[in-house]
Amino acid sequence: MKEQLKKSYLPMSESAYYILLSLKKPRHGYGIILYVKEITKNRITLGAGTIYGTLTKFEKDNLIVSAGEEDRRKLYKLTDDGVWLLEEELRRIDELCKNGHSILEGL
Amino acid sequence: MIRIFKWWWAWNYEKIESWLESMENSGLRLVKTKFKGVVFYFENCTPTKARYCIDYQDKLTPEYISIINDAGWKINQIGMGWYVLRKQYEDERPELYTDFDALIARNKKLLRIMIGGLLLEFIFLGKLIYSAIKFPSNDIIAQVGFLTAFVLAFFTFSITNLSLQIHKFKNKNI
Repeated sequence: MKEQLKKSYLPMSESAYYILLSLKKPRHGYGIILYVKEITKNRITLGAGTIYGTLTKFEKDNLIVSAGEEDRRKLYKLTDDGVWLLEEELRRIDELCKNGHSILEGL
Repeated sequence: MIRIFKWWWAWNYEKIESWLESMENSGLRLVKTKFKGVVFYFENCTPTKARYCIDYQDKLTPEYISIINDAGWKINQIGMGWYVLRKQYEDERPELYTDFDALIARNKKLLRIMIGGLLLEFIFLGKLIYSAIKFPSNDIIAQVGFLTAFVLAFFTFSITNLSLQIHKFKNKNI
């Protein structure tokens, strides 16, 4: 089951990665757009269609669940599977970084 | 109010998007659409920069509406699951979809509907052939046959184009 998740999600697109990361704390769709804009210093502005489509898919695959409502907007948060998948992706990115640094700076 | 007829295909929605944008830029704002989005109604406005996006949603959920509205888009229903969204902008042209994964998922949904339609069409065709064998003198069979050929061509055309677009998006994704 978990291997299946890895197969279908890794490597992650930047949008998917940041959307998942934002849901460490409960947030609604527009909250994710604002948060990702903030932590990437305006580099990434996620489109509303992308957010909605991705959240729907994540929820179906049980990476996130509903965490109640705020101002009549549905809140989402990470599940254990979601956290696990993010950790797997982070391990992959760490390897990318480590290899990149050691090879480029070793020149 | 100005009325314009314009035909478009689901995989060619970008043409309509930029057309609507250029219309508003020249002082004509979209008011509504009729006949499943092939007749467009415009009214005069001061020339404005506004992004138009065509979207497909098989179910219009409250979650979709709230994210869209929060992000500053106004929704206008075309019919059969199609929507035209409008957002005014100053500098950066806003996008509804900022990655290809969501677009691919959307197109695959459309593709499934088309393939479903094609299968129904084949069942219909099978029945037609059966009747043609049983009542060879029936005039109407020729006419229905002609129509069936047309519908089959339409589905084949649509499915090919949608698949090509999904393929194009997938290549861009890597």
